[in-house]
Formats: sequence, structure tokens, C-alpha cells
Amino acid sequence: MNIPAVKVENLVKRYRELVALDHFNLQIEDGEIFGLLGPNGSGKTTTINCILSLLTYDKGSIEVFGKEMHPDSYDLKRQIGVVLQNVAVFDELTVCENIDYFCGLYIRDKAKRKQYVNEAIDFVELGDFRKFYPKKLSGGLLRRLNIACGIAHKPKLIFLDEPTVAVDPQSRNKILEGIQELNRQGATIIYTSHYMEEVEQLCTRIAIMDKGKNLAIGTKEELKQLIKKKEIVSIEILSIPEEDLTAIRELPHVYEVRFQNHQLQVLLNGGKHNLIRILNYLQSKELSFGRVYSEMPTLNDVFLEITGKELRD
Amino acid sequence: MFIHSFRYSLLQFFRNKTQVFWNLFFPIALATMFHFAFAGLSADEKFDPIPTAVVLKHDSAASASHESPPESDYSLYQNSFRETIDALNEPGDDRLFDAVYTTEEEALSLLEKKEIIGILYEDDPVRLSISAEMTNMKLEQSILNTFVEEYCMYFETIADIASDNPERLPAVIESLSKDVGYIRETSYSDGSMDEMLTYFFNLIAMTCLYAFMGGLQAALQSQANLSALGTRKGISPVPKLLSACGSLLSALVFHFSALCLLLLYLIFALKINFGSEGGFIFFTALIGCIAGISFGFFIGSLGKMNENIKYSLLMAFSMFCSFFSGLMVGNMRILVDQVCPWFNHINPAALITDSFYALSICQSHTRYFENILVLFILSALCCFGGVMMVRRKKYDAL
Ligand SMILES: Nc1ncnc2c1ncn2[C@@H]1O[C@H](COP(=O)(O)OP(=O)(O)O)[C@@H](O)[C@H]1O
Ligand SMILES: [Mg+2]
Repeated sequence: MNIPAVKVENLVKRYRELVALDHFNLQIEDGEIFGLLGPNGSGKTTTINCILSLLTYDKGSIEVFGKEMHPDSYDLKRQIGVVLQNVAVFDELTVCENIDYFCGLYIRDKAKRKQYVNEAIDFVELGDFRKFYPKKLSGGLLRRLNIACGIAHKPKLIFLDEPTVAVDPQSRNKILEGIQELNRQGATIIYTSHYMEEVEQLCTRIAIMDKGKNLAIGTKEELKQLIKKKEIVSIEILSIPEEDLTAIRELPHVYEVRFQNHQLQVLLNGGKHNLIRILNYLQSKELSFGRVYSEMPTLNDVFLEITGKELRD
Repeated sequence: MFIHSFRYSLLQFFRNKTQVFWNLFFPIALATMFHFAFAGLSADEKFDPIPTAVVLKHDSAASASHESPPESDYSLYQNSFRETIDALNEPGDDRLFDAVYTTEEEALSLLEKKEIIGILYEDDPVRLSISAEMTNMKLEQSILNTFVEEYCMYFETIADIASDNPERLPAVIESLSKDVGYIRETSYSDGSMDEMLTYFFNLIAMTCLYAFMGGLQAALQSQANLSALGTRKGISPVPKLLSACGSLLSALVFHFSALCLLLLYLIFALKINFGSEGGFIFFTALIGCIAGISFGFFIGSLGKMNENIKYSLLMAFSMFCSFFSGLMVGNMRILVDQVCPWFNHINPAALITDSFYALSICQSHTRYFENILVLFILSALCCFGGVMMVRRKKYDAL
């Protein structure tokens, strides 16, 4: 049986009265890209800081690579790379020196370190900015430097805490591709974000958390299976009589029908050929309609159904 | 790992414009300003000749009036002391002495009555006798002292010239009197040479305390709950104390280098005379620097206050200490000594200033080492407190 990369059991963390983590459970297998998805303030950063043994916690146990994690578990720390939510670089050191400094905390051998630093610079594509000071870098480049500092020593386990906040789309795509590349090279990734699109695109498994609780865990398909809504059909229509709405609600798999702003929305909980069936009905009643589209549920819908609120509010 | 931390931390200090400004350019600018301010003062000052009694070797000559000495080589040599005194006694703008030739007994009684500042004896070598009670006449006393030192230095030259080519003797005497006059000019300000030196001592003390910036940075960057960089170091496999020590040592190297530059500037560019104990001057600066760094480290590690608050607090602390040791008002330390003397014994700026004072002016090693010891104890306490806080492994909140 494989030893999980990270195992968190019944973790409780309080900041005075505020319960930031409430009996939180998590198990991350080797080789995953694991997504921790939750709105701001849900406890993602707190979780990571607890795992890294930076924070005290009230209850629970944390294991990394099968060993209990302590502040002086230096052998474990050596295998971990962290990209913090807040950019942490030295203003007085250049891009190259910053990476070399952080890499040097893990790797003593000079030649090897030099090679690693160069690889990290290539990896985040900061080759043209080696001699730049952080102040001169744009937000996106700074984030990339922050990432390079965290992963230059080729760790086996990488934590990335919202690495794409306030990053331009181009840098964001580079970052996401980079993370996948790191994973292909064998690293286990733990990625937190409040952007569901990113998590959906990137992660092999996802945990949805809110208010310090782990609400659901699984692949995105598994998560979407959890909820009633499986398909949503939207149709532009000028007006529709009340009795037709009632009739549509009676069609198979339909569980809710809404009409507002000349927009008809039909929510379905599964089944096939739903769109055709609805359109056939409208044609039979000689109701003319405009644009039509059918959507699969998103993680936002999953979140909405589990918590009763939008992921981004 | 220690060297790695040290190296990069040092780079950080030398590239940090704020630090370089406050610890190097600011003190140098201030010193230059002081220098010109004092030069201006001394040019404006009116200087009164120093009342002095002169006791010649042959008491018979003392009673005699100013009749010209016999024109022989021997007498020229014999009378070079008297000639020198006479040259400095001539009425005019640069008159240094108000000298009376008299017997030893009479001179002593004049000194007793405080009608003269000192007695010059034409012995071999020339001696000076001053009264320990006349503490308000330090400047005059030190000018007399300088005169004696200079004269002794010149004496051999004068003796040589007197025997080889006596016609050049007056020129030599004039150059001697000029030298003494120069000392008077450069040292004279607002009543006292000591006071001007005190301003420079205070400036150095302030610069020492400014080293808090290095300690503060080391503290902030080694605690996970104080900065993002601290968090990052906290998750690395390097023990916190190790990297903190690297940073502290680099802070010391940086700040001490800045202080050395300042001292060299004072000594060589502004020609400030710190006395003969050059090595101790630098040692004092080193200890002062350690004290400054320790305060910064301690306050930096203390509590979760915002970085700017800590900085302002330490800045205010430095200015407070410097003010009460006399950076702005020269005789502040004396005032403090009258109101609450214990404060001078724990005020680091006063301790540093007093160490310099003990070295250059009183030449009291006991007093010097007492000051250094107190500074050292204060630093040790602060470092200990700082280390106890940095040692913490986990935090309740970041
Ligand atoms: N240092 C702190 N002191 C007090 N409360 C905190 C602190 N840090 C975070 N919290 C609280 O803990 C909760 C979780 O925060 P955090 O872990 O930062 O969330 P996330 O990273 O998901 O945005 C929030 O309600 C936040 O207000
Ligand atoms: Mg966060």
C-alpha cells in the first residue's frame, strides 16, 4: 500500500474564538495534483501552515510521507517546496540571487545549485530578467519569481497557495502549464485557489472547503455526480404562457423551470436528449425562440448546492 | 548554511539605500555640518589671553625687567624659552599669554588666588602646573598643556638652530607660536574644545544606535509571524537561530564598516583629534554598534507589532538617548547628571559618549571600561531576550 504524501486527521485550529479549521480531514496520494478549493477565508492557508508546522493547532494529527510533522523535521522539510500566498523575496537581491538564496537553504553543493537555479529560471521563463531587482518586475513576473524561489530545489511535495492571484492571463497560463510539468516530473502538488476554473482545469482531485470544513472530496466528475443538477438548458424566448411552463416542468428529468428577462432556464437531473425534447415541445406550441445552449454543471454549481451560496460573492 | 545566510544578508545591507543613507551619509553630512558650524564660531570668538606665571630657571632673571639679553649663542639658546613666551605675549589679535615673570612662591600664591591659570617652569623639560580646582578653565588649561607639549617637541630643533645658525631662531619661534595659535583656533568654540569633541562623540554614539536597523531586520526576517520572508525561512530545513546569527553578524560587519568610514572621515578629513588611543576609539565604536544591533534585535523580536511601528519606536529611542546624552544640547549630560544621575549610567548613547570622553579627555581607563561593561551587559540582555523569542518554533497565528 502506498504511503500518502500528506495525511491530515481531525485537525482543529482556533484563532481565539474563531474556529478556522473544524475537524478537517485530508489525504493526498503521491503523484497527485490536489486542489483545495474554497472562498476567501475558508481556511486554505491555515491548512497549509498547519501542515508545514508553522502554526500550533488544538487537535488532530498531521503526517507527511508517513512521518509526523514537527518544526524541526528537517529531513521532511528538505523534500517540501512552498509557494506562499504572499510574495516573499528580498528587494535588495536580483532575480538570480533570490532564487540562489532559497535554493541554497536546501542544497549545499554549489555546482548542483547553480544548475538548479538556471533550470528554475528557465522554468518560469525569467531568463531575460536575471539581473533585475524585484521592484522592477511586473506583478505576473514577480509571482513567477516567487514560484521559482519555492521550487528551485526540486522538491517532491509542492504547496502552492493561490499562486495566480492578481496575475495577468498570460502569466497565469504559464504558471498552470508549469505546475503540470512539475507534476509530470514526479512532484506531488497541493494547489489552493478560489478560482474554480483553474482547479477544474488543473487538478486530478479536489476538496471543496468552506468555513474550515472539508465538504466534499473527489475528482471533478465525482463531485459533479454528488449534486442533483446535471444539465442546464437556456433558451432565449420573447414570452411564454404560464401553462407551457407548467407543461415543461412535467417533462422527464426536469426538476426546475425559471423564466425571467426573456430567458427560459430548465434544470435537469440527468437523462439524455433533454435539449431535443424541450425544443420539440416549444415547436409543437409554435413558440419562436432565439439562441439555445446547454451547459454541464460547474464546480460553482457543486459549491452552490452544498453550501447554498456562490463560490465567489 | 551560516555562511550562505551571512553572505546574502550582507549583500542586502550594502544594497539597502535607506540603511546606507542613515548609517553612512547622514552621519557624515552631520559631521561636516558640525565642523563648519564650529569653524564659523571659532572665527567669530574673541579670545582673551591666558593669565600665566612664568618661573625662569635663574630666579635673578625673573626679577629683572625686559632688558635685552646678551648677544651670545649661549644666551640665545638659554633664552629661547623666554623669547617664545615673549612672542606669544605680544599685544595684538593673536596674543596667547598674559604672562608675568615671577618667583615660584609668588606664582603659587597667584595660582591659589586664581589670578592665573597655570605656571610654566623653565625646567628641563619645561613643566606646567595647574590647579585641579579650576574646572571651568579646561580649555585654557589644555591650551597651556598643548603649548608645553609643542615646546618640548620644538625644543631640540631650537637648541640645534641656536647653536648652528642663530639668525634663524626668530623664524622658528614664530612658527612655534603659530602652531600653538592654530591649536587655539581649531579647538576654540563656544568656550570649550571638549564641548566640540562631545558633539562628535555624540554623533558617533547616534550612529552606533542607528545600527538598530540591522538588528531589526535580522529579527523580522527570522520569525515566521513577522514577515513573509520569515515564514519562508521557517519552512526551510535551516534552523532559525543559525540563519538569524548569520544575519546578525552581517549586520555587525555592515554597521561597523560604516562607523569605521565615519571615524576615518572625522580623523583624516575633518582633522578631529581623538587623542592617542586610536585602537580603543574603534573598539568603542564596535561595542556601540553591537549595542545598537542588540536593541534592534530585541525590539524586532518582541511582539507582533507592525514593522513600521517597531522602526519608529527604535528611531525615537535612538533620538531620545542621543538627546539626553547631548547631541543637540552640548551640556545635556551634565544636566542629567544633576537631575537623575542613574540615567547616564544606562543611557547607551551617554555610555558611548562617555567612553570616548574617558578615552580622549580624561584618559581614565577605569571609567572607560565601566562604561564598556555596562554597554556589554545591556547588549547581552537584549540578545538573550531576542534569542528566546526567535527560538519559538510554532506560532498561534501568522
Ligand atoms: N492571523 C490570524 N488571526 C486571526 N484570524 C485569522 C488569522 N489568519 C486567518 N484568520 C482567519 O481564519 C480564517 C481562515 O483564513 P485563511 O486560512 O487565511 O483562509 P484562506 O486562505 O482560505 O483565504 C479566516 O476567517 C480568517 O479571518
Ligand atoms: Mg489564503
